[in-house]
Amino acid sequence: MTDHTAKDGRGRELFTVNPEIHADGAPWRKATADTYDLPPGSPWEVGRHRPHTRITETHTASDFAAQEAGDEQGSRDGR
Amino acid sequence: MPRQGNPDFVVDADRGSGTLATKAAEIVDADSAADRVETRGGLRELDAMTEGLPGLTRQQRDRERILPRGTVGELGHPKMQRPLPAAEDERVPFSSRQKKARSKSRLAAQTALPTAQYEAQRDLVVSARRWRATNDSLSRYAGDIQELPDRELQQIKRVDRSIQTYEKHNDRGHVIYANVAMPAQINHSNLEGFVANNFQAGDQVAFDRYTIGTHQLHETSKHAAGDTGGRVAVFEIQTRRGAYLGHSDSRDDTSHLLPRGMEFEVLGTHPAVYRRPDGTTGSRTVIQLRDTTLEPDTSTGGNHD
Repeated sequence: MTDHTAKDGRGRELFTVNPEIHADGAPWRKATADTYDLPPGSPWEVGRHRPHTRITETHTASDFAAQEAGDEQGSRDGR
Repeated sequence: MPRQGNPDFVVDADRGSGTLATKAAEIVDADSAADRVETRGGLRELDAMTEGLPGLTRQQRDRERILPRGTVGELGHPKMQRPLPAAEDERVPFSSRQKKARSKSRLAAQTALPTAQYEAQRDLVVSARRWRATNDSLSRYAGDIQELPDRELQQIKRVDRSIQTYEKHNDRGHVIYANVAMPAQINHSNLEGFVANNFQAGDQVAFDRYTIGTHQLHETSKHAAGDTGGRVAVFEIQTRRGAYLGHSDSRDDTSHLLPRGMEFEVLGTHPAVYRRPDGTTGSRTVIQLRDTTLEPDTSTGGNHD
């Protein structure tokens, strides 16, 4: 028996929840940069991280900010 | 012993603007998190005062309450409580009998719904735009619907009552699976550790928003199919609340709508293996939650719109 067209006692259909399955690029990949008070254009803003950046489970916003600052200093020093 | 996350920040599992497929956790500063906990406590105090007011009918009390009252019926049998599985247990698909029984309860509850409640519930879970707008409003004010415009408040109350109608018809417990995407810095290499550090046993978790989940881990995992980064964990929630919005055994659809304003205790986190209907298996990082939403006065019932 199929319930694709099942109706309740008032003749209304048993609707189906729309789970909104997303392909890559789903909304949860969007920015959280505001939370960390990082400048616009930060790699974190678009949910990416650079391959050489080591992220651990204990990193927090301040860790990321410090790492960001260190990376920029390193670039200026030619490292 | 895992290290606790940074004390200056808290991972709020339900603060981000999620979708019907997944909640979106956000890192918020500790002061803001504390303010929101205080706000929720204040709302519960106001509801307790409403319950204590003399001379009001059950309908009037429900209308005045800010957070929805749980209206769960008696358990049909102690075995129908459905305990959370152990870490090593394989999560298997729902039985045909379970789907049929819950679908039957859904049909009975839906038949009892006035048209306005039926439409409010349907619009919430079918329209991605409505889902996001309603839940973002709820989250913005930590669940205080009295901050919302009258029209929005009315729709939310109708959804609340539609869920309560199902709860009254239901004599079973639930284990619900709901995706939760961790912040953008997290990926498959650090998801398990991040979750273990930020959702420790005994921690409290609050959902200001409604929650869509399913009764099957493989089904909820399908809804996170776009998670190529590997940052989506899954809540495994033991509760008696909410409404079954799935179908009978003709479809692999066991959707379940949990009410807004729920609170939980974290019991632990671990990787969990699940089995799909075709016999293949998969694994997800699971956060087990126990419903600790305060049980309200259920001395009288009544459905209204």
